[in-house]
Parts: sequence; C-alpha cells; structure tokens
Amino acid sequence: MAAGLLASIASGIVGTFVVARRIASISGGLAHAAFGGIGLGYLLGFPPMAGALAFGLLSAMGIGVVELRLRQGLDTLIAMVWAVGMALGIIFASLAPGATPDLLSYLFGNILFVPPAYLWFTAVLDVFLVVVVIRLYRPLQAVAFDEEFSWVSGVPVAALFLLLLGLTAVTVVVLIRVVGVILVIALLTIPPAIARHWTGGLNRMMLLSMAIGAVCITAGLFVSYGLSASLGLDIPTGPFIILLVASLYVLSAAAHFFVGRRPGV
Amino acid sequence: MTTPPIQLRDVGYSYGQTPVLESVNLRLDDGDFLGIIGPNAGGKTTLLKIVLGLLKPDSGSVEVFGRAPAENRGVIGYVPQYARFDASFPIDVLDTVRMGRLGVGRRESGRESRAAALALLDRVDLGGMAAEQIGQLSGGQLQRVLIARALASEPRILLLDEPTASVDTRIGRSVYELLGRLSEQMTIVLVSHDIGVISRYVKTIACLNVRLHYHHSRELTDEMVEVAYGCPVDLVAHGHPHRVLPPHDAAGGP
Repeated sequence: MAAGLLASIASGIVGTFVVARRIASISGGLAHAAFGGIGLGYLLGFPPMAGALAFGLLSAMGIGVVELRLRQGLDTLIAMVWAVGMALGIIFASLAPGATPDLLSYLFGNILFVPPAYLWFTAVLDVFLVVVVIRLYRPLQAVAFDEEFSWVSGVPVAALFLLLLGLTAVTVVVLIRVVGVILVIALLTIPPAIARHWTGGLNRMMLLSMAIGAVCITAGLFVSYGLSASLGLDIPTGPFIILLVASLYVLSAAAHFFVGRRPGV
Repeated sequence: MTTPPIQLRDVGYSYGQTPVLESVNLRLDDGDFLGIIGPNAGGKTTLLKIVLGLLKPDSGSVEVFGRAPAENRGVIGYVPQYARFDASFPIDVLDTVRMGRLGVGRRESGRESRAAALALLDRVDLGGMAAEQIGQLSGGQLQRVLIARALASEPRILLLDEPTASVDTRIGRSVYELLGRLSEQMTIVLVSHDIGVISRYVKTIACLNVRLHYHHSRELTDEMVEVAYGCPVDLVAHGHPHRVLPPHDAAGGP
C-alpha cells in the first residue's frame, strides 16, 4: 500500500503535465520502449530494469529531439517507439538463454510484492519530482501551454521539453517495477483526466490527481482482497485498480457533463 | 542613423513547392504602427513568425534591432491568433499573463510578477478576471489576455496576428484604442485578412499576398489592393467607416 501511495504522487505530477500537454500516449510509448531494455537485459545478463531505464530515457530523448527538429507530430513518434520497443523486447527475450523470462509479470507488475529497493527508488523519485516542479512550475507550465510564445519570450523551451520527457521516462520505468506497465499507463492518464474535469490549474490538478490515485489504489487493494477472500477467487489487484479508476472517470465525465462547470475534455 | 527595430531584406519562404513569401523588403522605424492586410494564405502569419524567429527564411535576411531574431528573444511581444489555442488547457488568466514575465534572465519574486500581471489586467479592463480559467472567457476577453501577456514581457516591438478576428465591433474598437495608446511607446505590427480592421489607429498600411506592397503611407492605392486581393477596389472601398482609399476621382496610382 505504501508503494501505491508513493506511486500516486509521482504519477499525479508527471501525469498532469502529460495530460495537459495532450501527450497521454507517451506513458504507453515509453513503457513499451522500456520493454526493449528489459529484453536486452535478459539476453546480455544485466539487470533488466537498468536496460529499461536506458531504453526509456533514450526513447524519450529521441522523441523529443526529432519532434523539436522535424515537428512530425508527437503522436506518430510515440506510436513508433511503442511498437519498436515491444518488438525488440520480444526478440531479445526469445534469444535469451535458458527459460523464457516472464514478460507478462512486467505487464501487470505485482503491487502486493514490491521489492523494498523499489519503494526507496519511488520515494526518492517523488522527492525529486516535487522539488523540480516547485522550482520550475511556471516555466514548465508555460512550455506545456504555449511553446511558441515561451520561445519568443526567451524561455529555454527545448531544455524544458526534454526535461519533461526525461522525467516521464524515469517515472514510467521506476513505476513499471512497482505497478506494472499497464497500471503505469492508467495512473498517468486517468487520475489527471478526472482531475481536469474539476480544476482549472495545473497545481490543483496535480494535487487532486494524486489524491484520486491514492484513494483508488488503496480501495482497489482492499476491495480486490476482500472479494477474493469472500468468493474464494484470486482477483488480480492491478487490473482491478484500473477498472476502478476507469469507472470513476466515467462517473466524473457524466457528472461533469451534467454540471458543466469546466470546459474540460 | 539608429538601428531599425525590424529590417527584412529580400526575404523568401516556401512550404514545399508553394512560395508563401517572395522578395519581401520591409523596414520599420521606432514608433511605426503598421497594419498588414492580405488574403488568407497570403503569408501574413508566416511573415510574423519569420520576424519572431520561429521560422527561418529560405532566402534573405531578418534583423530585429540589428540582430538575428533568435539572438534577440524577449524583445518582441507576440499576440498569436487566439483561435489556435487550446482553451481547455488548465491555466487561469493570471498565470497566462505571468508567462510573459518569464523572459530571458528575468529574476523576480512571485509577488512582483503577480503584481505586474494584475496591473496589466487592469490596463486591459480585465481586473476582476484573474482567477478565471481561460476557457471561460469570451473571444474578446481572451484576446485582451493575450495582449496583456505580450505586454508583460515589456517588449519594444509588438506583433499581433488577427487581433480582432471574431470579436465584435465594440470590443474591436477598444482593442484598437489600446493599441493606439501603446503605439506611442513601441513599434507595432498587426496583420489581418479583414480590410475592415484598418482603422484610423494604424499609421501605415501594407498589402501582403506573397509579395509585400508598402509605400510608407496610410493610403491604399488601387494598385496595391488589386494586386493583393485580385478584386475590384470598389468592393472594399465603400461602406467603410474610415476611407482608406483615395477618393475615386483622385485615384490613379501613386
């Protein structure tokens, strides 16, 4: 549960920027790019998560630099990185000696059995993200909102854009081990999307999405455990949390539609 | 002679095979207030982006106070077309205006930038709107927020892209009155596809349709309009609040 709370802080911060900047699919793209690194780790015998981090960061920087140079459209680049990373992961893993590693465990992770080292990684990541956001809140907000104006008024747009992508990559990779690829995507996207229905500023959106993430993870843990115990089933926690937070989104969207308070999406 | 705020020499730009700008020459001096009109896709926004340094011309040279635009960022205040905005972005009016305070090397406390932004909002008659999310504003209000944001960087040049598109006439007039006052302190260039916005506030008018036609005057000649729009002059001359064309009997070119 501590893992879940720590994860919701990081994903609340990064997810808010990613959703506001309309590049929500980047979390999926980088998570799957990291797969290439995991596969390479198994093949060459180094820690898979080190490979994931390297692949994630390289892909983020690659996406960022190509976008800044060519203005191809981030969505296209993200989709390419997504597919290529996954393909590399599968090829590397199939070439790996010995038993085929269980890539599926990386897909959904296991929030109930997080290695203690990753709790610490996540805590350090949280502190780092909070410090960066407090120090660079307005420049990051400016670049996410209006790159052209920011550039014209002298803000270092390229550096901040790459910083945002880099932070996203690190967050995605660290959280993969904690909650799995699929839950990372959900946590980076859905809580900020809900928060956006009810807030008009990035700072409030971050706080609200952290709270939503934390509540959903906690509730998901208890309810899936309770259901499993009472029904004698084994309901996987990660996917259950995703369904929970997605249902909350549907409710929020409906409420937002009928109340019509903010012009969200 | 002092360095002109804006100097373009023989600037050309094309998107692929389509030329958007051809041999554009333009020199603006301190205190100029130029209105550029021209049809849609006539290259107006492209010209502004070249002056801003957002686009690099294929040929020719651009200087802003004697330096390349990219080396002189923060000198120009930019008011983009508001219709191209993501108005649902979670940001309020005050933070939008404060973006203008993030310029090169500016070191100021949050309180100072807040105060500066609030003063500017008063100046554009939006004093009470600081906490509104930008998506809640009307077109005219958002337009004035964007002007305040550009002014927040304390620019020496102000460039405006279609500042009164889809704003009603009364609001449009208040925007022009504001620009008229500002033109005493800075060089202003605004572009519009709508000849109707060329009001008594601009000092000079140019026509842009791939090529720029500029005679350093407020009067549009028949030749300029015909070249720029390819339509009879009478269509644009009559029923206009301010006569921008010379009377017919005096017409006959420069």
